[in-house]
Amino acid sequence: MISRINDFDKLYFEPRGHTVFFQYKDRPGVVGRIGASLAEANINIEDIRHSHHVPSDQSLVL
Amino acid sequence: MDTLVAKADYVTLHVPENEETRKMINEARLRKMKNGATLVNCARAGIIDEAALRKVKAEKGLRFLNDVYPKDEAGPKSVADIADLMVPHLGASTKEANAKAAQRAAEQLIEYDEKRHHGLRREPRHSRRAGRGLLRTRQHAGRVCLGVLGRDAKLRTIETSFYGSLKPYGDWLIVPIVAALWEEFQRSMDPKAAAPFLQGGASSTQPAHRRPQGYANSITLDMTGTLDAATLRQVSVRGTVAEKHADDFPHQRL
Repeated sequence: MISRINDFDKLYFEPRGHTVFFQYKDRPGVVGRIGASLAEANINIEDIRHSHHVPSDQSLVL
Repeated sequence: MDTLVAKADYVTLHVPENEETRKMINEARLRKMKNGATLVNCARAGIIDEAALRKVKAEKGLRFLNDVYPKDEAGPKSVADIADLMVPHLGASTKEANAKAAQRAAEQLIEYDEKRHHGLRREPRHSRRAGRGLLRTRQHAGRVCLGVLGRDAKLRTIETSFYGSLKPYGDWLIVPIVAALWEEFQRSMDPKAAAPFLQGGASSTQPAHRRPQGYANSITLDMTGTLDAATLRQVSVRGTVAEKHADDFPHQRL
């Protein structure tokens, strides 16, 4: 399984099907907007992972 | 056999040498061959009665293509005066033959792993699971790395690091990684064959050491690629060989 992408660790996922990556400066509401946007496109989220890199205050959602 | 020899334009020999096959191609059989036919020996030198061939070849107008000698070593060859073509026992060493041999070996290993009916000692179940986990991890690391880098990126460097029990197999583990990145690369090919796929001056290196973090058996894949003349992107992905399900790990699942 994949445990780290760049500085984002503890991901522990096995990619299958379609996987999308979002990296952004951490702030409230981003995960919600991602979920809403995918839902509007009738795309179901089977699994979601999040990792936060404290020094850069960046987050990764996949 | 005599009927076949009498009808064939090409007679190629691919048999072991033993009491039954030694001098199998004797004067009587050579005389049965069609005039102007071609005799190819890829088996063993002793299969042909060399003296008989020397005697019959000219009068029958036979062609003789030879790949085998009593000994594979430098020096004069006794058949040099009658051979139309001599190859130093490498008739089977073609790119196609080597690829097929590797593919068949891989297929047999897969069959062994899946069916377990060859009477060989069964490996412990956890080892088989670990092997499948390793295969998945290598493929996933390559695909995720390229996915983050961008499909249109031109690869510049690939660095692979292997830790724990994987470390001694670093050269070989590059094979499934390259196979994951380029569909046309066959997993049965060897590490040297992976080199041309590292296009655009890309190089594959294995850093002497990097401190492993967390898990004993893991892979780190680092890539750099150019998206355009002004954009260089780097990505680093770590894959962990784990027998447990992802849910067993303290991840940051939402």
